[in-house]
Amino acid sequence: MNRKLLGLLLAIAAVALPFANRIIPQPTPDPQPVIEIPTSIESPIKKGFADSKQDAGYWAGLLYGMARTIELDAKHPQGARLKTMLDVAALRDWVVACPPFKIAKGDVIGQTIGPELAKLGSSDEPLDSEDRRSKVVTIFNMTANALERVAK
Amino acid sequence: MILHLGWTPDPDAVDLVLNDTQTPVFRMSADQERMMRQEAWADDKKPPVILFDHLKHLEPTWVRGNQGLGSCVGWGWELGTTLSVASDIRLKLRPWHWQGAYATEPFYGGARVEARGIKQAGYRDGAVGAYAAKFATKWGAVPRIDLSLLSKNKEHDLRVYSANKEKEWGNFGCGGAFDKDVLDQICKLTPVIEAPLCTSFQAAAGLIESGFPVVVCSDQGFSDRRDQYGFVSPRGIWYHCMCFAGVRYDRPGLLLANSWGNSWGLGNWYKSTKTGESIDYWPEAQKCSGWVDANVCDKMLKQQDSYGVCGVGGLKRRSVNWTKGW
Repeated sequence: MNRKLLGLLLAIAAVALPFANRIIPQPTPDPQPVIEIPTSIESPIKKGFADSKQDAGYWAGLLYGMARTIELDAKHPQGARLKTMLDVAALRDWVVACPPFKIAKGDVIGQTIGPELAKLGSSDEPLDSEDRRSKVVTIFNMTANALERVAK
Repeated sequence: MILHLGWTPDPDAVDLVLNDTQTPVFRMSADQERMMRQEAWADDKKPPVILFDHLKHLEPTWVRGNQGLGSCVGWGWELGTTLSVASDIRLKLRPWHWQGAYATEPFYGGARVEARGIKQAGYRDGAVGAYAAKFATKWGAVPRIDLSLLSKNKEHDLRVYSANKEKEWGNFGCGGAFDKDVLDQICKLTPVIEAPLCTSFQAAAGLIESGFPVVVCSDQGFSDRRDQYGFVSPRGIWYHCMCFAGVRYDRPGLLLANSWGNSWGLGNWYKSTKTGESIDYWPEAQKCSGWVDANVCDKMLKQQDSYGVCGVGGLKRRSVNWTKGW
């Protein structure tokens, strides 16, 4: 290969490099699922947290964390640790007790999702039957999403 | 007022219970001892750990009772079990339903009769700590509630303490003369899970840090009055069973709870030797307890009849109010 041809190839490469992503298809991230939030959750959250966006952000984080924990717990290599609705309550108690200060507006969260969770059970009802686990995760996710919208 | 005692030292009985592999009353292994030492990290700036904290929230109207005879072993185990369950619920967030403080009479009767495998124990007061530990773990504990409907025996209404009943059960065993082992079967539904022998301040501190009180039997007596830091000084000889329910590290010591009603331990209850800070604590706990120096605790625990109360099994689960607790 003579020097001129090599120089030409390098020049073409240098010009084309910034456009490489247009020539070679790049993997794109999966689209985020859009969570539809029912009005029964969205409106009390909006109303309750209208004047305290920061607290809404804190609660969103805690609820997302709980949802993710409950979801991943099902895939625990030694079997699910959370077995009943009472275990979910114990997890809730732990999570709520974790921040170094009490996060305000907990009553709004309780009044909004309390009745929904109560429908799923309040004692020894097993988490892995009648689709309870995914229903609990959905309730937490929806609420966290509604809170996040308020916090923004 | 008569101050009752009632611990019977019996090293042979202790050996017998500890060597019984069917009973979860045991000597701690070297590993367990090490774990306990790690649990009790001795930082003198660390605030005290007091197991009454949990009871205060669950049962704000609780008042320490007064033993009516030499049944201190039953009373020590009652408080140990009560605090252990309260810590399980509050400290470890276990979903148990709180049924109230435990009853003393079954422990006392069971330690004297059932655990020894005899039919009658006579009316002379006193019990061995190891037999109470055996009864607590192989039979169990019942709260101070009305069990007469369940057992169909009026004598099993345990809502109010009765010294006469305790005396009778001390002779006939848990449940009384006409029990036919019915109360024993009810006790077996909720046994104490484990009762490790505790022989040092470090081990006791580790157990208390983990939420497990230590029922202590010894011949060590104490003054009535606490010093400016809340410590009672060793004085005289008491063959007595009490309960260690807290630990502090500013001046290393354990909180000793007595069973003489609200009449024991006068003067300051707690003042830090490092910061000079006092704690305005729950008065009912103050009226029945005092701090004991670590070296005195060691001396008491080395008498080898003191046990940690590690949880109660078979408890009913509470139901959740999802609207509250956020």
